[in-house]
Amino acid sequence: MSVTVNIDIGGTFTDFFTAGEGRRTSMTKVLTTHYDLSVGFMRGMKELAGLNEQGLSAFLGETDTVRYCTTIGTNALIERTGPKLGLITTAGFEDTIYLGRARSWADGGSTRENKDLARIRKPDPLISRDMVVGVEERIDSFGNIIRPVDPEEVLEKLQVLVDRGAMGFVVCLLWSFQNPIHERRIKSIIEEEYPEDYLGSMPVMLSSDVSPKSAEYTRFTTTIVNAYIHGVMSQELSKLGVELRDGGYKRPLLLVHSTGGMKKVSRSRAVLTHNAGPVAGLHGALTLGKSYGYENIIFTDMGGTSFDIGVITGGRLRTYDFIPVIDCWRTNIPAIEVKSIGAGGGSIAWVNKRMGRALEVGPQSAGSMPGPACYDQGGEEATVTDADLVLGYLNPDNYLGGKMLLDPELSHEVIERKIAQPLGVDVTEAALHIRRLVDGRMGQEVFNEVALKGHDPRDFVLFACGGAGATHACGFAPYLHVNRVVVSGYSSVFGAFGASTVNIQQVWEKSRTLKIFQWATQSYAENYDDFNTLVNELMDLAVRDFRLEGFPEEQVQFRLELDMRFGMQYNLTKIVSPHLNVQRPEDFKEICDTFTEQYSAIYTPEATFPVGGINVECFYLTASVETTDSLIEQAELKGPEPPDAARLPPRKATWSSKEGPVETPVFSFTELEPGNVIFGPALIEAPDTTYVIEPEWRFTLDGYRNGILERIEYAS
Amino acid sequence: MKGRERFKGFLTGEPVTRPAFVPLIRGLPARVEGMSMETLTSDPTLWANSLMKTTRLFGLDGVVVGLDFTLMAEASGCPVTWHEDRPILMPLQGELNEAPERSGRIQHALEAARRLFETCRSEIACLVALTGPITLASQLFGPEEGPERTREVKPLLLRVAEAFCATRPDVLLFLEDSPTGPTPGDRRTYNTLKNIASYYDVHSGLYLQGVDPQNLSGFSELNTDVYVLGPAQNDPLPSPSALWKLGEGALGVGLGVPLDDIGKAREIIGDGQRLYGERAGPGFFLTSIGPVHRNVNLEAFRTLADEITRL
Repeated sequence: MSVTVNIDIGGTFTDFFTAGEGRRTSMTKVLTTHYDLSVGFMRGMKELAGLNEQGLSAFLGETDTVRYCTTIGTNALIERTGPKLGLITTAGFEDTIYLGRARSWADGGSTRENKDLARIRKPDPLISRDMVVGVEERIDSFGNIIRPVDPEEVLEKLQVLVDRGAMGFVVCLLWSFQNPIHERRIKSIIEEEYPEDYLGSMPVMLSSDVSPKSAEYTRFTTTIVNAYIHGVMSQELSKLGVELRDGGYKRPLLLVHSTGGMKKVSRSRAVLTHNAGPVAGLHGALTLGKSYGYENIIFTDMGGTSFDIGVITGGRLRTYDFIPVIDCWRTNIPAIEVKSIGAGGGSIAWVNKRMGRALEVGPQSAGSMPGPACYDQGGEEATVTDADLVLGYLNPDNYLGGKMLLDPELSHEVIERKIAQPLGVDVTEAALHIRRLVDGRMGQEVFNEVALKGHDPRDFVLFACGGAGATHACGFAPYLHVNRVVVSGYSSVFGAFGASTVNIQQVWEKSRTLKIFQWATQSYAENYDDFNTLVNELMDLAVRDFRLEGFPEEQVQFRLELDMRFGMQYNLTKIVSPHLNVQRPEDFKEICDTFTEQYSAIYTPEATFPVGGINVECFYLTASVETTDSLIEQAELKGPEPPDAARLPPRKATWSSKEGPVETPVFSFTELEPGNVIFGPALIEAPDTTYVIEPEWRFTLDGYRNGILERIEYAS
Repeated sequence: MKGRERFKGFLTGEPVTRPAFVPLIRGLPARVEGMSMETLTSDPTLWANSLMKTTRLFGLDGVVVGLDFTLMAEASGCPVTWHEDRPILMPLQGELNEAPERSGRIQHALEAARRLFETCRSEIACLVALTGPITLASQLFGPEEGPERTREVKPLLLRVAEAFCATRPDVLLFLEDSPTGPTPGDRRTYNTLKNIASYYDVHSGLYLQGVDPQNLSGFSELNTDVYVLGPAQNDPLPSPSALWKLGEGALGVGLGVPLDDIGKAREIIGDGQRLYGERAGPGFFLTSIGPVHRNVNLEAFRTLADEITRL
């Protein structure tokens, strides 16, 4: 029996989703145990085993793959628990990482922090200045050696770093992506000095291996971030591997990557695991969207700590066309674009006295410990979940299917003390304000992410995911003017569900400038060799890597993406190349046309400038092996009337401060049948979330057991 | 089977070769080290080492850190004086400490727990004992005002409990020495404490002494994972059946035996085994009836420990 277990670690909850042949899908959520992620991981595994009526060892023994969206690396960066590293660079460029690029001091900061210019300060570097040495060497922009490396000098500089406590080395030289020979020479010198079989052996990371792309700053930071989190991740994942093996799991652990694919731990670079959960969720939305035939999807995931936004256009995931930021460092990793803001169920509401006692929500979150006040773990702050509880939307005895009992008195008390009294309103009104504010913030962010990137939100379907997605979808959807909101039956564990849909995949990349449309002659390039040779080199790397993982070449599928720009322009635009190899001038023309078309869609047709020439600047080859089967089957639709078994005792819920609490019908999601329709105001309790159907909204359970929310005025 | 496995078996209900023996060692380590408790508890290295030494000396299955009713009150702001190597609490002076986990001897207890558990977690069971909210409120505000002011001690206890939970003990045992039962407010404090412990995968426990037997059922409703019964009011040796009743619905109970009276200890152990066999319910481990002070009869303690290993 083939079973996959998919895990997504969030700031508040760790989500689990399992699917497999001949068995029902099952899912669960446990509080994220930040002190040791493996505790929550194994706790969830035990719960999954229980849901499948098995012991842990029997369950894990039957499990084929465990796919993991981890945040170990991100945590190590935030908590600064990485090792002391030494940086070896080209002499004269020792300050590259401190100078940064443009507003690099604001990278990764919230809008609020970035606006506070008086107090903003550069983040402390991952490598302090005294741990950076320069060596006299030079390779030019074409990869020619201008000045060779002097081994004696390298040894001398190495000793300086070792004496200062280096526990690992990062080697980032100029133009090493064109010719890595000097970086490799330095690595061999280090390895000769500190051989692997000695205890004093130290890891060495080369920028030409980790990030063979142009632009020093991002190449350096990408390599440094990778080196910084490598050891911590390696240690934590080994520990987890041992626990899984002790539990009965015999196969390798797979890590989901920011590229929307996954690889074994042994074949994964640490830096690529960043933001894997939201990316997996976005991939899940793509898969789910295909079942409906949706090509334009706005994906949102409201969890306990953050609100993630992703956009799917034309049935494709969007990769970053600029520079992904990890913690507060610009990198150049290939990544699917997902934006996160600090808004979730655990977001803390507070009164900003400096802004005339304005109510604010987030970005701080109560996290999993202490969590919202109602979790009764000592939380003393009013959160969005507390507001939802006070408004009567959440059932204190049936939160997470009754696994976690909530204390409404604590929510009431804390909202009264922290919000209602300072604002001079009653508790219910304060709770309504909190809810409206967080909904508004989320709605506005989504609108910006879609409309300001050149799309009309009305052309999109909104997917509301995350543990709090179903609870807040009716609140933030109106800001987008979308007609239809899909709330998946797996929405509360959507990152984990998404992980079950990703393929074994990796991206190989290489910077190289090729002028494929010449401005001087206004003609397409006739030399195809450079283009084809580079692509073939990347394909060879990919095929070799996949062979090592046990996949034959025939199973590997390739996709080529190119960073392109008009001649002399600064900004790059990424396109999916219509050709892997180029055989004739028309092929280059089609590539250029694709670029021009995409460029006009983003910046308007008037902004295009093909006469200035068109360059390819970077090649990204995505190799993947499809591993997932379609999980989603459509059930037969029943009538619109929910069965009696689905009707739970009604309870008081507040929908407006004017009317106050009103008796509201409550339904059990588990007992609803496909085709059932429920008009708001109503509440639907699922074992893992609560659907809040606001007045003037209509909920329909479709054949996939997904909830479809429509505003009645639009629907009619 | 190691002490750790034996105690884990008790917590998970899995079969064990014999019940784990984890007495509540308090003053004895000072005697083992040949120094005063005052000196010992002011240094985490001495404290951790002496506890480890004592545990090894008697072949015990677990270690308990922090077993002192005055630690938490001292950390909260009550000065302590020492009399015949026993800490005596003085009345609260000024405001309550905002960060009790960094005050008084409790910061050393925390550090000792961190070191001990890190090094011997795979060998023996690791327990932390901490004054419970009812007793703490009474110590800080007096027996009259205490019951009405337990709410004020809650934030202090939460901070300290979370700090101890982060050291990842097997059980966080709350010590109560109060004739009265818990009020609804106390129940809420216990709920929060249990939730914090559960987040850290730590079992919660309750050690009761000086309780009026009439009020035991109130403590039973606190639903902690483990119950241990010390000397009751007017009854230095509470019956095992009272303990089993108290622990109904819990994971297990700690059956206290007198370390100075082997005959009585054997009798209690026999009763415990019989009750365990008769009633499907909580498992049990063996412990001391009340804390073990420095003047304990070493000969008898040694003999009893040896006998228990042969059970």
